[in-house]
Amino acid sequence: MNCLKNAITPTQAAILLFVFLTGSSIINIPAPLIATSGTGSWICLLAAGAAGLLLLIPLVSLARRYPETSYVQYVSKLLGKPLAFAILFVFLLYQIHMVAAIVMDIAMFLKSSMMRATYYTVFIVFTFLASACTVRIGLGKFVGMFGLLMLSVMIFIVFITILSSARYDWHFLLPVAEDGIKPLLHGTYFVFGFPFGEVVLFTMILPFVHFRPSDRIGRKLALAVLLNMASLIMVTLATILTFGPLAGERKYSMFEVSRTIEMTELFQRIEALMGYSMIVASFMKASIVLFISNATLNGLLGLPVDNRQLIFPLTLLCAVISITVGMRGEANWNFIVSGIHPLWGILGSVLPFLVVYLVSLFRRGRKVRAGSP
Amino acid sequence: MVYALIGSAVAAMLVYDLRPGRLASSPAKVKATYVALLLLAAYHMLIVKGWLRSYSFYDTVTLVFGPAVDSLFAYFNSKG
Repeated sequence: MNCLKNAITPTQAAILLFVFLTGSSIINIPAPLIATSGTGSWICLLAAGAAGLLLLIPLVSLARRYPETSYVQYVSKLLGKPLAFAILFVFLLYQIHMVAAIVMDIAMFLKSSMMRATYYTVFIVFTFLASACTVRIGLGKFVGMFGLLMLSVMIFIVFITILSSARYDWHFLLPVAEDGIKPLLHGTYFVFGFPFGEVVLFTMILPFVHFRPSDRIGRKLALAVLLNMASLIMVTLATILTFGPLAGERKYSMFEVSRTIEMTELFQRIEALMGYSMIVASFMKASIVLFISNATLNGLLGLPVDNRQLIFPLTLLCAVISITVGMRGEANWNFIVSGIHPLWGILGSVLPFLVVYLVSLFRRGRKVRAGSP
Repeated sequence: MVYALIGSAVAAMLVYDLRPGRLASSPAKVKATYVALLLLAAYHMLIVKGWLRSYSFYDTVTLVFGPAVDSLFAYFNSKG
């Protein structure tokens, strides 16, 4: 596999993982998580984040064992082609769903919060056009741009969290888990599916990482997951501290938090910063997943992983699937995101990945070489 | 306006990919996949337009995972 043209460094991979995990989740996670788990939401984030960290062990282990070899290649070698094809096809469908869902979230946010008279489709088409063009320029180029964009997003989020602290009521943090453990399990299920279980998609990115044995890629990726956990806990707590029992009902909660800021005449009505953060972060995540789905599709067809000929039709399919979401209404969409997405991720992505890892442990003697089909 | 936007995006995509030396010189499986993806997109577009009453991607997904998710939610939301 010739990934060298698009090779990235371990640090860039860690930044990409942080962007990927934090992307749309930092705006979308707090409200539904608080609605299910209340003030114990931070416990769910710790539990699911710990599971996400554990997933890095097989992820890095497989990347070191099969350097510059894609997930598609070593799954085919380890499990045989028919089973590998079934697993990877479900994996590809999951990725197509993710791209469609991320862009639909941008469209829903813009439609409900900022531009109510505009059709969903307008946002969807323009976002997909930008994503497709971004993916076409190649991983090595867009990863550098994403680091800077993510820095601006995180600066705005921290800035808004600090400014909103003037209105925090610390009594809202208690009581924790007054309804027992089931709401916490529900919340953990939700946040493991979105975003921590999605770490498995990085099996398609790590072949592009050019690393030496001395590179501490595992630690760098773990730091990315830990920073993501800290960011999500920060915005979730900021939402609870601002809105208290009503926090779960405030959709796009950080956007709502930013609307409450009134510090002198200078800092008020700064929700546009959160709007920017939401759009940019989700766009970056959509582009990363689109890149991964293109790589998976190429792998399934036995083409070079960074072949770009199918990006446009794949993007078109994702865009049209995204548009169909609007037909069934928002309640159906919430059910898909909070219920189906985590289950699909666990059954279609995490479990097969763990099976592949277990099989690789039993076949330690046989290595897959890069370039083999 | 919406369909004009989608149509112009598709036209731009096809003009770009059908230029000499691009898709024409690709292996047959790339061309077949390209056409399959376009047909799938067209199928969903027919559903969106209301010209075809059939299962979309997300209808199928809900059919497959929906019952299991309902059971999970029933467990999570039960008391005790």
